[in-house]
Amino acid sequence: MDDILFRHTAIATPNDKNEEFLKRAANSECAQKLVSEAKEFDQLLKDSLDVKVPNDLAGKILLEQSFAIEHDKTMSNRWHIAIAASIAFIIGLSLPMLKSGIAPNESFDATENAIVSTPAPHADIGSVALQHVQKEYFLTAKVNEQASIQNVNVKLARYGGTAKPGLGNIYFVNYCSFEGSSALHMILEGEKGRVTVFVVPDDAGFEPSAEFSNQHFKGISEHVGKANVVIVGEQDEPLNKMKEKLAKTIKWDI
Amino acid sequence: MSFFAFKRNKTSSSSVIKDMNRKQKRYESLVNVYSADLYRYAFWVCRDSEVAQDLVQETCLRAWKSIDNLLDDKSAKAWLFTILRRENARRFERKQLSLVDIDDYEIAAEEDTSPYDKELIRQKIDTLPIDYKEPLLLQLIAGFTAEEIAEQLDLNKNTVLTRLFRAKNLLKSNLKVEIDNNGEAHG
Repeated sequence: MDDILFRHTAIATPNDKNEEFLKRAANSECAQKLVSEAKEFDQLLKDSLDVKVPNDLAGKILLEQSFAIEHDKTMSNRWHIAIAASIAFIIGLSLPMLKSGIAPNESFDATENAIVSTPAPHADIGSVALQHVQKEYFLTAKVNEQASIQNVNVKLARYGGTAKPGLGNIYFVNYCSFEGSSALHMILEGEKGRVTVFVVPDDAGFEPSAEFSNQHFKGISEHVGKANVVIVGEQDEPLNKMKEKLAKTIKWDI
Repeated sequence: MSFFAFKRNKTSSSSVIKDMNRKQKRYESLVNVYSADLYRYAFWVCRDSEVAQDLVQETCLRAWKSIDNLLDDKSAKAWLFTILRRENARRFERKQLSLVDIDDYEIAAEEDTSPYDKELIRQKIDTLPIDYKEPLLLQLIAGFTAEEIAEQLDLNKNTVLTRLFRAKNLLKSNLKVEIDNNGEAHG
């Protein structure tokens, strides 16, 4: 390794592990000094470049990912439903035609049959909420955005609500895909742990359910303004306290 | 209708779930290990905290979608930085971002033990030509070796060494730091 290459390497990559470079560096005091000065300069530059990373960046990234997965799933479910609906539609159309070819009198019955096969009504809001909370549990247990009341209001406005201070710690607030409809997802500090609050617009058309639970979580829901507020917490959480708190702090447009 | 029921049952079978969990765990570790460095790099490239966060989010989402292509975990860092750099290039295609005042930077709290002014260093790094700045950031923030940088930027190793050398020399002379390392170091 000649002098120029050594000098270049020492300054460009003082941590080079190349054997020839290391041997050459150990050769003289001056060479060692050059390398250690270059290392110091690198460290100085590194320190200067060390910007503060936003709080809980990793948590946010993972949350975003879970939304993306949820969205993909909803889309693929819709794909199934779309195909099923198309097939039902074709059958509905073609059966009367076929039958009318054979026996014109029976065509009315066939149409009625086709109507009976329309898709099932919407799921109830409670079980969707429980499923949602359970699926994202490992993420929501960690996330802490320290959102402000302004953050909440910006997003809540879409659902006709205005909040005033007094919600306590707001770990997370964002829109989410609630079985395909766009709902507001908040994670607040409860008495015992974290409490999830969904605001689901009326036009999502879920079956209402005032109280619900499974082995891990329980929840309540209430109709306010043009939306449903769904509160989900762990089994020992006094949800009515959260409900009172929300009633005190959030005003809903009628 | 039974066709759909069959397909759903199949996808929810336990081996698939196990595979999904493994994939999720792998992704989570990648995010935990590399998101901070990705953010710092993005920040110095685009000089805006919000845009940098968006870039990292986009990068990770894209990484998730193609995580099956990542065969060797050892190349994960290079793979993520490649995605990030591609995302950033895409952003530039969309629009040229206005420059941000250097005073707006949010810098980590630090002990000021060095005789050099870090604020000045930041300004000088920021004004380096992009050909010098990019390899420098890849080395100092991401911790890549010259070979790895060469691969990232599609250059040969000697070019990378020269650019790193020039970048640092340029910074030094700009900072008017006199380093007495001539002559004897050659001997």
